[in-house]
Amino acid sequence: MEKQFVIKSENGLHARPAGVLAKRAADFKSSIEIQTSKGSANAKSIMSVMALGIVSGATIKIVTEGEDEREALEALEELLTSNVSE
Amino acid sequence: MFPGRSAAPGIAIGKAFRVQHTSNTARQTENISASSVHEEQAKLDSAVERARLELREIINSTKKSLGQDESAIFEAHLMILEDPEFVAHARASIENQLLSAQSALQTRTEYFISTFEAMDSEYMRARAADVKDIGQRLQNHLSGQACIDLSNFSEDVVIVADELSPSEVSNLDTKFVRGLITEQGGRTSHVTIIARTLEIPMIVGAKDIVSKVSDGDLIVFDGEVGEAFVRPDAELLTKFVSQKKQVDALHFENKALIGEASITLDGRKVVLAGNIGTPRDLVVLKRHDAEGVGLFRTEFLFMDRASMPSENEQFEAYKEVLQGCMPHMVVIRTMDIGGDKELSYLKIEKEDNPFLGVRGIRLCLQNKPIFKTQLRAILRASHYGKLGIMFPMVSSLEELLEAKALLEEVRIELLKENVPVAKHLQVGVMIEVPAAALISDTLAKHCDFFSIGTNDLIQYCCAVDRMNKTLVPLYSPYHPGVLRLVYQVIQSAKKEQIWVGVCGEIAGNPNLALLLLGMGLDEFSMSPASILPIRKLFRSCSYSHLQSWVKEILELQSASQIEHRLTELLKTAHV
Repeated sequence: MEKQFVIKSENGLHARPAGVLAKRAADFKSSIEIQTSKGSANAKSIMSVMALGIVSGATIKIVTEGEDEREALEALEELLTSNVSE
Repeated sequence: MFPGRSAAPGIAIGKAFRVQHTSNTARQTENISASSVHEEQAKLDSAVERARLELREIINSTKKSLGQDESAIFEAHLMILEDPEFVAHARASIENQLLSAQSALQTRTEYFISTFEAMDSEYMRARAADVKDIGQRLQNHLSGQACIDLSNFSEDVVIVADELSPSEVSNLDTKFVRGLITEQGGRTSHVTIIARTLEIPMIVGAKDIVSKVSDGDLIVFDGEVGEAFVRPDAELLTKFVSQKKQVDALHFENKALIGEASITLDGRKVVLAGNIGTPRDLVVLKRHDAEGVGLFRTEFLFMDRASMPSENEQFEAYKEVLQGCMPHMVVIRTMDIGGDKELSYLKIEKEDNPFLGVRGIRLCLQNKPIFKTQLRAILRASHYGKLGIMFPMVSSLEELLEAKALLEEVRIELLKENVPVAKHLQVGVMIEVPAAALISDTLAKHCDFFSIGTNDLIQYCCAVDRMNKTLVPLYSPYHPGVLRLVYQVIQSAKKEQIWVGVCGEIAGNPNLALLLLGMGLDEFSMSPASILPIRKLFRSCSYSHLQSWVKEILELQSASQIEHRLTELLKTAHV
């Protein structure tokens, strides 16, 4: 499953927000990937998420695959739309 | 002379001890045969396991010596160690690309370091340093090399390093390390924070210094100026030695007051407490012998993050401070968000006058679930120490009563859940709105103490924005209007027999501290560094003499007259 999001938080997906996201992603069995124009990353790895340097206003796609892919996507959607920021 | 940037104040004199990190980058990629894959993976696994054990140990020891916030750096290192794209990725490439454990790890470490360093953010560059630190730790284990050890010297040294990692300074020899100089490093890096906490002078950004000094060269510098002198001539050395003597003498004089009571010659005893912002400040409180905490700002828990801190996270922080300060009292101020302090996860309507808007207790009463979570955390922590809880920005009796009712509601909830809550805890009002000062006689009937927040009280009383540079002369703690309000609050407290303190900057200002003492103030809460000098001052004065000043001062007509007269009186105050 996949879905696109626009990052709203002022500081993009850096630091703590990346950590919050990675932690949440790690709760699921499915593989979860973040795709951006600059490349893609394992959403469960805070380091890879930070390495993408996602800035405010950027569009990202989240792709989940596995037994709990729906729940995973919903959980991350909730996180991203609830304005994850610093 | 080596110019750098000031990172931690103080005068440093010592012999150079150079630290140059051997870079791993020159090493060529080592390939292995398919038959050694398991052996290399096992090597990596054992290095990771040892690093994990070491980090756990460092976390425990830094928690004790430096506090929770510093140990958090190493918690972050543990997270890096466990990141699925770091070591686990390197482990996979031993097999996929037939790399030796060292090469696989190095490739992965360099990838993240170069990515993070290229990013336009000081925060991410600091993360690059974290990756480097943990990468180095793992490489040391793989190669059997020891970590650079800065924990054991026998004479005064100044560490001169290309860079320093938090791991290296986590167990610094604080007896003999007199200064730190690095070629790299921002002023906000963790290492500089540790240096300031340990009160070791530090300079960063001193280019090429490591290659230009020899071990044993004498080095002097003033951490506040940020210039290092190598092999100083006699004149310069004398200057630094005498500067250091002055600073040390003052320090020594103050140190002699540690453990002494804050008491006047004629026996008036008061409490000199510290203002703090995080549990990390506990070390500083101890060093300056604070008699408790008069203002624990809790905003740090709420700021710079993506979501509300959980009840447990708050509980742990409050508990740490309460336990750490026993047998003294800790006054926790409930969150003072709003005004100039915003939270990304809490929608606050844009206001034209945020300082007159939804802040402090107003915000809490409009967002009760958040407030109740904090009250629960504070009450749970109350079991572990001596607690005072204080509400900011109260301007009416109704607000105080409503906040107290919520506190009671939460207390009953906890008791029903069989959670221990202290039997005796005090509830106070932070007096910072002039209207609250004027109705302090009423408020005093409903609380256990007042703490006068003079920084905001001055701003509201004089209607002067304290951030506005052109209005600086109008923002004066000596304004007769301000001092009359303060006096009125103290008198209201006395009448109802509750204690009263000041937690603004004036508590640490010698002139005004003496006036407040004369007015009968019970508690002075200030930046911890001011505590011992103020104790020294109080111990040399007579309370009855100071009492006689009050009437005269309150009858003066302007801030400048009052300031002038107090300065004069200060000279005669010592008996």
